[in-house]
Amino acid sequence: MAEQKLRMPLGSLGHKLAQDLPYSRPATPGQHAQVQIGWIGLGAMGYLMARNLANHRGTYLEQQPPLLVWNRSKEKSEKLLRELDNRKVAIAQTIVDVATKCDIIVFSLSSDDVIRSVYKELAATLQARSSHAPPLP
Amino acid sequence: METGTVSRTDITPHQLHLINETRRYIPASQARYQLLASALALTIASIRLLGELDALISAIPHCTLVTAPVFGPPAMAENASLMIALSGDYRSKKEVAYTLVPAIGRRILDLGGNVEKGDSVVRSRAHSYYIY
Repeated sequence: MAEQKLRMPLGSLGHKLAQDLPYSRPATPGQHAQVQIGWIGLGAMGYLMARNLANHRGTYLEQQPPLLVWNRSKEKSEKLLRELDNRKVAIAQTIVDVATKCDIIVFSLSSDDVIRSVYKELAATLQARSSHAPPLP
Repeated sequence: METGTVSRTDITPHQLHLINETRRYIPASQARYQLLASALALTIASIRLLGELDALISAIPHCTLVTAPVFGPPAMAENASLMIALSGDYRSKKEVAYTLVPAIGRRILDLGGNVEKGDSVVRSRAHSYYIY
């Protein structure tokens, strides 16, 4: 019986993830809680990656908020929204929106100067928010 | 190697070691040297920037910086089959890894907790692999 169990193949997805990810699964609340993800930068690579991430979360994960995207030129954000739908993608008006609403923020930016300026704006917002946080009981 | 692109006075001994290590993978072709020189110039600039960003983000309570350079052309990004190299805080990498795979990539490489060191190694090696 034990030998039979050992020979049983793992489910395809579980087996693939076990091979491809060098980490054990995160704690249960992390997987099942609603995680808001923000995406900054919709360039040649960023657009495709953001689209795949939004599509995957909207299709396979239940009750997850839409991917919050921000790009310097709004046309690309609107193009992504048209390609998917508002259940999968939402457009942030400013970087401050992304900083205040998101648990995980992904950056896909090319120029060092742009990266530096965006990070500084983001850090200033997060720093201000954390300094106004209520004390722990 | 184009000396005008990467100045030795601007780089640390660790970065110079990386350059020399990467050079061992390169055949004597001028075109490839130029390509690598520009790639290394970009790498060194990015390493400096990463240190700056890590200090900026780590100073904020409950925030961590995880770097995730991806490898592969846009066609692989289209198919969600990129290779992703993660460096940074372990618990954050664990959360992020299950968010990114299989949604945008097919495999994760863990490069440790130091974002500068991990990123510099993988970028210099990855550029040399990319050239071949």
